[in-house]
Amino acid sequence: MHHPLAINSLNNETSVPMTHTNEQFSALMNAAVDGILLINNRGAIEAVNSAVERLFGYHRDELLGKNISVLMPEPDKSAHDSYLSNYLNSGEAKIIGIGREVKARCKSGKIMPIYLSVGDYHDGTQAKFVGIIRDLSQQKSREAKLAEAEKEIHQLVSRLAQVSRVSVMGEMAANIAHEINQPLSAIAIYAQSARRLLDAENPNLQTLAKPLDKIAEQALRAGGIIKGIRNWVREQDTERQRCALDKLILAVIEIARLNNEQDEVDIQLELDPALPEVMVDPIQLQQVLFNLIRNALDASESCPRAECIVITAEATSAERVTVSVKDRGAGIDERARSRIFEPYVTTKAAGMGMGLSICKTIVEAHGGELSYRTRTGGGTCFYFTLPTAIDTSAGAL
Amino acid sequence: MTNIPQIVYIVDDDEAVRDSLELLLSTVGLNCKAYGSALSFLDDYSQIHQSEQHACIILDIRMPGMSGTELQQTLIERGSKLPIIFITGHGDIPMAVKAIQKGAMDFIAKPFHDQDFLDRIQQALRLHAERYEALRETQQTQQQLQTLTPRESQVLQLMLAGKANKVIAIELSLSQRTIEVHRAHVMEKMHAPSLALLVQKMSRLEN
Repeated sequence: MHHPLAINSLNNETSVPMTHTNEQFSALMNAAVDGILLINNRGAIEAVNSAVERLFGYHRDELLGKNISVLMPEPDKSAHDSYLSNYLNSGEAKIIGIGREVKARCKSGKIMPIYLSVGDYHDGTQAKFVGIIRDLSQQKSREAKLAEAEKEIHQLVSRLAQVSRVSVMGEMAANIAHEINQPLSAIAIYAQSARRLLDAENPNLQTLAKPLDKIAEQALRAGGIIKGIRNWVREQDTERQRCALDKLILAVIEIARLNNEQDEVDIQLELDPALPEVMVDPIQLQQVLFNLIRNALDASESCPRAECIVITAEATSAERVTVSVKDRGAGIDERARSRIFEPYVTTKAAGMGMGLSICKTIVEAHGGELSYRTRTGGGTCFYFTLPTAIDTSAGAL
Repeated sequence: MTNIPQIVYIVDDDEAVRDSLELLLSTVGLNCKAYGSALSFLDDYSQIHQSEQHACIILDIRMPGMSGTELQQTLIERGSKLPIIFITGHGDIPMAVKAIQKGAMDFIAKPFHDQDFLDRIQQALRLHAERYEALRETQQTQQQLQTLTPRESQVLQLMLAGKANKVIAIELSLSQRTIEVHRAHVMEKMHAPSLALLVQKMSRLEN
């Protein structure tokens, strides 16, 4: 007697002993994990199984005779009657025999993703429908978690790729240092040997010819290595593209922060909101920025008055953008000032002296300039200019 | 000791560094031989090992193929007593520290001061001379021991235990006069002018 309406509908169709069939029917309905319900051609609910009660939080008495739209959120809720009449008039199935993912509404108001399969039948007087409802909530939340994790991995991978691109430069610098150190060492030893030959009791000046020739030869070798590096930087597969400068700067700051262990020095940004795009190789430009920020952080490290590093980017004319990195650090040693952009000039205890030299080469290859000034009140401001993207493309035409 | 020739082996892959080091060593009258790779040095090693000379190796830590530290390891395995001075470049310091822990005598970062470098070479050659002399002495002592008769060996052991002739005579059931003769033979064969020096010689053998 739990399903009076369903029993009636079956009664009309068949002469099989009803008690037996009803029990089988009832068992079938209630054994299903999925929700099963029957509706008539006006959408009124005629039967539900216990899974429907569990899924939707209604008692079956609250559902029987009600329009099926109580189980739907908008816009299906208002439109369902017309779905039914459309089907009954045209016979055009939108869901019957197909099944699809839809939203359902629980008694609590909670919206639940479900997979709905619908079949129809005729009880002799009218068309009726059976719906089977599978709850997709858990599956959906698993999928969402998976998608989230995948997204995180993607972000992590791309960030790592960026960090490693920048660190390639450091590795390169170490190799270059080794390469240059060989001729330098040879030069030192030849010169010292020449001195010893000259200091001998009866020096034979002719013996000095060989070490002197070798010194010249090794100096040229060192020069050749430096030339090779400059060419390498210039010829590197540069992929120029239109870039939003602010995005490039933000990405580099993140990398620089990752590398900034002390984290005592704050990095502040002052970006022109109307910053024009630039035509650059984003990786090379990030290398330049990374080096300047790194230098600024290093300069601030041992300096008590260093408050923060300020990075500004502004359009200084219609064709030029200027980016500057300002610190309140120790400043540049006076003796090094005139040669700071030359290779192997460094003021750092463990520095190679390659960073600024490579930065200058990169900026100049982009048609810009890299320079610096000492700030009033202490510290240094390194700044570089770049042509804006419009300017570059106009030049190309 | 001073009559034995000295030689400095240079192992460095950089031709200019090798050549300049040879020149520098020649200005102070040091004999040297240079190799462009660890393997070419190893090719000559058995000959080097047998030759009577005071030597040391100037070894570049970073080389293509077999590195300086790998050559050091191979030489240790072959029982080499040659002192090694590593020359290192920028950033090789951690490697150099490991090399020192494994028994390298010293390391020097290039470019370097010639006098520092030459001082270390002299120090290395002295160290090798000491090791060499110590080895030769123990070999000699062992040869001298071979010449003793079984009875003389017995007497030597008891002498080393600090026992007087009278006690030794009783322990070996011999006359004191006979022991005195054996004792004189031991001292002569072992080239020991005094008991103190004999004990010293024998204790070095144990080391």
